[in-house]
Amino acid sequence: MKLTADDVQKIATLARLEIKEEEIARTAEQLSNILSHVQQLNTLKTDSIEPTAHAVLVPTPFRGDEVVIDTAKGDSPKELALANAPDREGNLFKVIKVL
Amino acid sequence: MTLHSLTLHEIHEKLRKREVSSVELTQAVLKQIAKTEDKIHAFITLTEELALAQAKQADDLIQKNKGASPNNFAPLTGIPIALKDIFLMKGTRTTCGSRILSNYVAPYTATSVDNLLKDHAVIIGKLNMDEFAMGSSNETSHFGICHNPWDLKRIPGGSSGGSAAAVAAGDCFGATGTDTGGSIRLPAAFCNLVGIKPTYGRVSRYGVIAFASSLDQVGPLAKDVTDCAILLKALAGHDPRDSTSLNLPVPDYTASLTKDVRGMTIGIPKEYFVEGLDPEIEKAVRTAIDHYQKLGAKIIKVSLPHTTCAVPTYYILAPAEASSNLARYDGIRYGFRHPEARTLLELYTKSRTEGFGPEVKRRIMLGTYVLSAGYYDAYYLKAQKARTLIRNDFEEAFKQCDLLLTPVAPTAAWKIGEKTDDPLKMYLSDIFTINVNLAGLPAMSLPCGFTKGGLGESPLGEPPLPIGMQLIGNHFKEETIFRAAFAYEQANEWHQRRPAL
Repeated sequence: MKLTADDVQKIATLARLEIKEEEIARTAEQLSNILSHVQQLNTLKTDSIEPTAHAVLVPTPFRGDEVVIDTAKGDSPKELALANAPDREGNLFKVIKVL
Repeated sequence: MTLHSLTLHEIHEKLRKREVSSVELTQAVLKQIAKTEDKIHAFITLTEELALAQAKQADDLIQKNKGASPNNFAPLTGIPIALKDIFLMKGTRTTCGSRILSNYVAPYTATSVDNLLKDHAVIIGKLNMDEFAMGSSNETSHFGICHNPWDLKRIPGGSSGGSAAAVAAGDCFGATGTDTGGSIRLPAAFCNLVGIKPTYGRVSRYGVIAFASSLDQVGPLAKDVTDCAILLKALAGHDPRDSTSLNLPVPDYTASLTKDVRGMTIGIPKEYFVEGLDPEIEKAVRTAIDHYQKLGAKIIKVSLPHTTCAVPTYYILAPAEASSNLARYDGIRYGFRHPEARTLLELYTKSRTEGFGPEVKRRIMLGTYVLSAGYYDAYYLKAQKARTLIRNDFEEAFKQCDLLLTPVAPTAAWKIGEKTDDPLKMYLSDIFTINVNLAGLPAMSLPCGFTKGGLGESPLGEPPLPIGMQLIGNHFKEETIFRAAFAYEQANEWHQRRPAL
């Protein structure tokens, strides 16, 4: 499995990452090595095997669709949610103009 | 013996007899941290003020209990514990070892941490780790390498490297860790500790930063089996806030510490004793197997034929899940935002490119690739099917035995920098631990010997290094692991050794 420079650029764009020009060849090589290694799974016969997503299955629990406000402890959930924002205006997350 | 060298249960006895106060204990470990931190760099954040306030509260509680019989306080009350910096604790910085979260202050507390706080444990700080728990050596941390207290030239293991280094150095009496592919067991083995990855779902992951959601599990690192049992009992329990949390009662694991393994059958999987396993490790593990036989356990050979599929399966599934989990770091709601971005796309790309380190980016890209259009069936689906085969192997093995005994890692702790240029070489150090995560089983690493050490390249000689063995149990059978581990530990002294720092 050999990834090309174009493949690496395409994956990086999908992942919202930038790879510097001088790092492309090395990244392609490292990813190719790992992909070659994982391809040994191709030797397994799995046609009649069911996939396992979680090794220990529990039924999905549901909670009621209710607004929860933690007023008893004096916390404002809005303030907590915004406290780590890199940029904000009032009670809103501030972002670069989209349209 | 100085206070910081004692175990958690020995310290609890001292608190119970009022021979020491929690404030004195907290001051003692803070002193030890001040002495050792320059050498090992186990902490990302110290919570000194909080710890002293919690210690004072614990002392008040203990005083109130004076004269009560039995003493009505939890085994963790007043005892300094530290948290891997992947656990949220409200109001405290939580970085996950990454630049992208270097200023992130937790808005709420993880359920597992809350469980420790309910028992009035003292939280001394947040521990160093591989960035987003991706690594086996603690070298990918944005906040610098953590050093092994047994040999400062060497890595402590990862990703919970800070947790292991801090407990081994006497900076705390126990620590939390997380284990996605061996991240509790590997550092425990490299630092002469007992660490357990419980059954998937045993401990709540609410408030623990996600890496690979079908594999991540929380567990403790401790100085001996008893401490490990106490800590797991405190951490575990059903949590409606984690949809993968098991709704099962948590047994009192200390009740399993009976020294008795008669009637127990221990399976030795032949695929774990193969070329590449260091002869000194093999010898130590085989000596432990003989020891179990002497203690009355029945030893049988078993086979787990899909063992070699573990690393390839893991390095499809874990990066795939990570690429999805880490999509949330977008520079909008929290975390690092690049100051020079001019468009929204640039904001995402530049923030992520500068916020994440090389290993995290590598895994995001790997995960993105295996999930991308046209490749899903060939990689992700194939790996999920391989996972079924790995799980079936264990199911078959557990029809014949109660426990499996294996090495934790093919070698002892390696030197800093030795594997950083070759990601695949680093991944292969987890060859004996990854299967357990894929199958969701509980497994413990515990001390079973030391390497010889000797002359080596250094004029001062190479110090002996800890060796760990792994006990793997069937789903929900942590008690069987504790019983066997305690029986071995009581007949050996490895766990009593402390590094000379």
